[in-house]
Amino acid sequence: MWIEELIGIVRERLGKSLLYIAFLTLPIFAFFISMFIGSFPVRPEELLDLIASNMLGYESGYPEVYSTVIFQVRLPRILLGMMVGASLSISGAAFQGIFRNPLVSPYILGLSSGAAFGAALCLAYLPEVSVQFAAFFFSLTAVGLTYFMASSKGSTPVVSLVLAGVIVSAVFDSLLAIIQIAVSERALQSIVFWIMGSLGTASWIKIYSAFPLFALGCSVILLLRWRLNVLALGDEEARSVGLNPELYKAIFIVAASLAASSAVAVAGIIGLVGLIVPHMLRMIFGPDHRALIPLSLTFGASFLVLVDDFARAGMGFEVPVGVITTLVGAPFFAYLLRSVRSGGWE
Amino acid sequence: MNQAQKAGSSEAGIIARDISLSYNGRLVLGSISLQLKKGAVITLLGPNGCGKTTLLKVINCLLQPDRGKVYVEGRDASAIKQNDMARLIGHVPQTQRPSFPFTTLDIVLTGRMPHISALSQPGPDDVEKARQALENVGALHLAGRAYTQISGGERQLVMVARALAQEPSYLLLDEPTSYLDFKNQFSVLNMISRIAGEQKVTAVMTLHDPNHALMFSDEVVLMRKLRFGEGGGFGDDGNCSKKASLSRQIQQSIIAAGGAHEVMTPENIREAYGIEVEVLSIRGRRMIFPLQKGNGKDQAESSLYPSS
Repeated sequence: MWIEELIGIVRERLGKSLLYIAFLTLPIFAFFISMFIGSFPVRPEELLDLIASNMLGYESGYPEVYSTVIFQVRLPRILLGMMVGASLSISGAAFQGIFRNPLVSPYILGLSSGAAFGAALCLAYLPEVSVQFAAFFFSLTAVGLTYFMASSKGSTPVVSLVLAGVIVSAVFDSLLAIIQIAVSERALQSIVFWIMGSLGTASWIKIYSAFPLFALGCSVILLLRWRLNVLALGDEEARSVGLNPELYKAIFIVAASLAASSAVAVAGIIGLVGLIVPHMLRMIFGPDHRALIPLSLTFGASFLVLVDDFARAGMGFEVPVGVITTLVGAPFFAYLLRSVRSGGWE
Repeated sequence: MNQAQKAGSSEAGIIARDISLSYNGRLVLGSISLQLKKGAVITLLGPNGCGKTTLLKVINCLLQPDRGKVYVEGRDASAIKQNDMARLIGHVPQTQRPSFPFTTLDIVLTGRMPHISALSQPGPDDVEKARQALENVGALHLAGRAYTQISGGERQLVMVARALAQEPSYLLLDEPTSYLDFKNQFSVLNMISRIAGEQKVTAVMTLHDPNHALMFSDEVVLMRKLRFGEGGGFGDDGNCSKKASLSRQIQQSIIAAGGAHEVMTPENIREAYGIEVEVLSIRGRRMIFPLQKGNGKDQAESSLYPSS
């Protein structure tokens, strides 16, 4: 299979460490490519001139629309896309480690259902409350309920977490259905659009408001990432080497949920990124979280931005990026699953 | 069994005092008192369900007993922090559920956990120690292989290496020979007794084969499965003294503990497993030979050899 061969050749020629560095620096390339893509064409020298003039404060001589498109539309959208892609991927990788299962996504504990309910509640009945805040609040509420439901006598077995997550998701899905039936056509339309997940509403305010919790969640996971290796061997094995599995499970769940919730709150429910990105990286680089976590951050950021480039410029009309991540991700995922032995997991 | 009472708590080794533990209303461990001497290879032996694994977990503080205390090197084990405990005791669990295809070296590296400070990751020293641990068990050639793609015997070696990477004073091994073939059983047990000598590690393991216990351990703790309900024990009717003493015995997990040869007598083994055996001396070694009940042919044959 050609992808496997290609990976093999690249790995042989460059060595794993160079491939690793290439993946770590990918966001820089993704960023510059994305700056040129869009319905409003900008040439490289124009872009450099604009950036220089903006930073140094001199008049560039270009029409006002240039600077608006670049700095108020394109730049925030790219940065937001990177943030959302990075946080969904890193939290997906962390969740997969905690659950010792590569088929887990950040939405396993009811985060997305909670967020969708919160957003719908706002869009339908509470126009004065920020949708971002409501989605964030209810996504964490859902995760909290799941955790509370799953823990008994000071332990939180992974199986209980998964089952509790299913139940909590179902409850919020039902509540969402009630709202969807009760509201007006227009409100319903905006709810459906929000749930599909899009970066089209990107703004600097969204970036500023989501960044602190995104950064907090990601830093915690990055700092403690090796302990995911210890956790992934099982609770008792972790305890026997002196790691408190309940404490670290809780820390990772909180950190991963903060990162994913802050992303979902600004971009809606973008599917499959948190599942596919860590999985693809694991197939190429192996399961060691010391490499997997930083790679998830950078590759996740690049992946979502590039997919969003396609979403906003690939077709005549703009498609929600969540739809494309699913459509692009699913076949690629299926291909990797079939060609790499057991999906890199046995 | 009186050793524990005699020994002061300052003495090195692991001392269990009057441990009892029930699980789902069933008494699993009954009034266990024993001393695990430092530097020895000790085997816990007994039928399925006698609580060998449970006892190992109690010693390692993975389970809290309902009654009694464990002292590790004179310190109350329940007061020892998890991290300090992991520096004292390495634990090789019975079953491993491999999740991701970590390399063998990455698995062994997790054993360095108790030596790695908060917020930091294993450094080059830790990797070196992990490689040494793999070398000690004779599995360095597996370092780069995926843990999910090596054989059961190799996996057992890797888990022992992981426990050794903790640099513990005590090594608890839960059925290190399970799932292994005839040859690998011996190589793993040989390796354990060699490491116990070389690294000055006290090895405590559970085994199923009494002959392995005789061959590879200095001391044996022979346990019985407690039978719930039999003989009462809760003073339900009368106060017959014979019944009371019988029930006390049935509430007691340990049949005998001490030197391997003293413990492994036909009487004790009958008590533990309910089968008749004879202890044979062959080429200067003792072998436990099961006799089929009521089969005269076997008994006639074996009586040629003197039993002790």
